[in-house]
Amino acid sequence: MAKKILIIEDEPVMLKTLELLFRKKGYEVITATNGKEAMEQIRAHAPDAVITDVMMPYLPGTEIISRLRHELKNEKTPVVVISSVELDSLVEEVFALGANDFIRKPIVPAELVARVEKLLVS
Amino acid sequence: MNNVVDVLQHIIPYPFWARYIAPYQSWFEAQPPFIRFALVVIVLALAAILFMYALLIITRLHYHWKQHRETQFRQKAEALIIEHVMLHPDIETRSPEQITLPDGIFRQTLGLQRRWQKQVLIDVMMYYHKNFAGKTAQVLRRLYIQLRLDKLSYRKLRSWRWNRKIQGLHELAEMQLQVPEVTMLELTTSRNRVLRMEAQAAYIRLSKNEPFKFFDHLTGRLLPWEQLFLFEVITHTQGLTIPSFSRWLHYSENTDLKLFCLKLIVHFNQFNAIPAVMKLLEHRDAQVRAAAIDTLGQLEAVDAEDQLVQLYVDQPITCQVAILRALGHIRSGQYLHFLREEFLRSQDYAVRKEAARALIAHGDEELIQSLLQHAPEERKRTLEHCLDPLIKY
Repeated sequence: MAKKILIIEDEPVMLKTLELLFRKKGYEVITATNGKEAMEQIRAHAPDAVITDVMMPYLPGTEIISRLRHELKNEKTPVVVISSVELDSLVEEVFALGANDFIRKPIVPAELVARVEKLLVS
Repeated sequence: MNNVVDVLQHIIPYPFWARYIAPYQSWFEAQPPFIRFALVVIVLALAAILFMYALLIITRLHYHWKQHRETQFRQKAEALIIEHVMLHPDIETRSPEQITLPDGIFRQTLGLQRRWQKQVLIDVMMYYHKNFAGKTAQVLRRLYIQLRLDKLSYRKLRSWRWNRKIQGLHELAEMQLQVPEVTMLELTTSRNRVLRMEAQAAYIRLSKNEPFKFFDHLTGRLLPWEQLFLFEVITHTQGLTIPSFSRWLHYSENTDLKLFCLKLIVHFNQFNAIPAVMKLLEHRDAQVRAAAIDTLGQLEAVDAEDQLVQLYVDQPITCQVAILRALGHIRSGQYLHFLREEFLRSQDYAVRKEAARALIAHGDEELIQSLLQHAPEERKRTLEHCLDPLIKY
């Protein structure tokens, strides 16, 4: 059975591109355009991995990770954060909250897929 | 007034005149002149309002139609890029140069005959180029050139509109395409501040040999906002060859540029620039002297310490404060006595505070404790203020 990936991104073009990229690789992809919708998708579908942007309406990516890890007590689902923000403090923050990987934009598509695959295997 | 009526009779078509206006002509002519004048003004004002409303509606409809047309086109372009670039079957196995470009499909599907079509496609390609790197970005760049979209970007550089020039510079810089240095150098000294900033940023990003050559020609002001913008570009451009910024401390007459170079010297830890920075201690402008002193402090230039202390007496308060701050950074311990005296004797609060900070930075616990016990009450409070880790200023 195909593994489920939740992609959370507020920019529709980026979201569509990432969705098709992972679909092509054989994954089942669920999408969300904001933090609130993302939390509903996590509760409803229990994805195998989460890819999230940081700056989003309603709930930022950091809050999503925090709720996933602490509120839903989900320690297993790997979370990959993608962001164009270059602050080291942000990287430290997302890892401290429980993210598994951090990728800065611009993204190398093959690298993103490889990192997610590696996390899913491990 | 009769002349006005004659003129209107010539302008307005006869059937309209005969049916709607002529019946009132005799009534109109019987009115006193100022009433006739007022009526003409009212009619003209009403006509102008109706005309403006019509124009407004037409402009808005045209705008919405253009938006709709561009949105449709944008969606098509995005779909093509996803299908033929992002998900290209060879993108993972072949090098970007070996990948067959889908330019034929793009031309066939999108037309690309009109300027707006090319512009929308450029915008979409820019978006993808900004967000995706690696082979995808390289294929996008090749496609941009193959579709001759670069011609449109180059043409924008010759536009008389400054915003078009900026757009062209942005596009060429994003796609890493060469722009003749003469063109860019001319733009880096433009009187338009925004254009100047963008051209300077593009020059740094695109110039292969001397990305800072425009510093030689910089004669106008380099405002703090411009400095911040350039600083961002310099520190975030990958593969940029960083020169020794002390060069412009010597040769440039531009005070703003000297101040900016001092900041860059600190950021890139250019210790070889210390002798050049020390020469600025004799500069006629106190702002430059203070910045040079701060730079020496941040570079922890022990060799400059003696000269700083010698200069101290003749300097304005801003420079004296900078010297004390620098001594606090250098922390050699040679001038603890001098700092102590300044802390106890100075009449200026800023000087006392900076001297206290410099003393604390030296980490001499015994001296600090002795000052806390024996210094006058006001000095003691200043020292306690500086010792509080929660107070930054």
